[in-house]
Amino acid sequence: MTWRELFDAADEYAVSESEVRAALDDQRDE
Amino acid sequence: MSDEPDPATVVADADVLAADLLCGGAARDALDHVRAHSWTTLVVSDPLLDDAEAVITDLADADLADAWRDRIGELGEFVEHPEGDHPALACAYHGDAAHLVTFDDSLRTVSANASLKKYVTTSVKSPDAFARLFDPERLYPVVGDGEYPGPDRDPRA
Repeated sequence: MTWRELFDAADEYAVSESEVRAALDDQRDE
Repeated sequence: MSDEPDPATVVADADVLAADLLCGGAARDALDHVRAHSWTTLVVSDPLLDDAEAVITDLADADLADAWRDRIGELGEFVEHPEGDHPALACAYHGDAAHLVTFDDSLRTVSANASLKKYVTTSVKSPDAFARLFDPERLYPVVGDGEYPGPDRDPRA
């Protein structure tokens, strides 16, 4: 997939930067 | 201590990699510098991409995470580092990166940055700061020949 296609596919998920940061903290705490 | 950092070499922590895909905004602006310029290098490692892929799977879905992994693997230059190292710091060290882009405040604090410089001569920046401060036109004469030719890749390809 191109970056454009990836970004278009990701648009349906309304994710915030704080959610990403929290998810990474959880991932690295495991 | 590793070699002198390359001013055209960048590490994006896993939060920035995932936010580039899922959020856009400053993370995407920051990584567009790399996507648009073939003479820049994005340093990655399997542990770093594992972290970002897990976040994307958690917040979106596994199919999207798989597709992203394929694409980022084509863009990034892989380094290896010991298991258990902080992936972004290890990539910066082993990849001689001048820039580490992260949302992690603890990596961006003055004391952490000063401590980090004992081992890695890398500037730690937020995505917003990197997107604003990374100046391809000013940097190009250092890494290329002649005048800055402008972006040489489609950042959405």
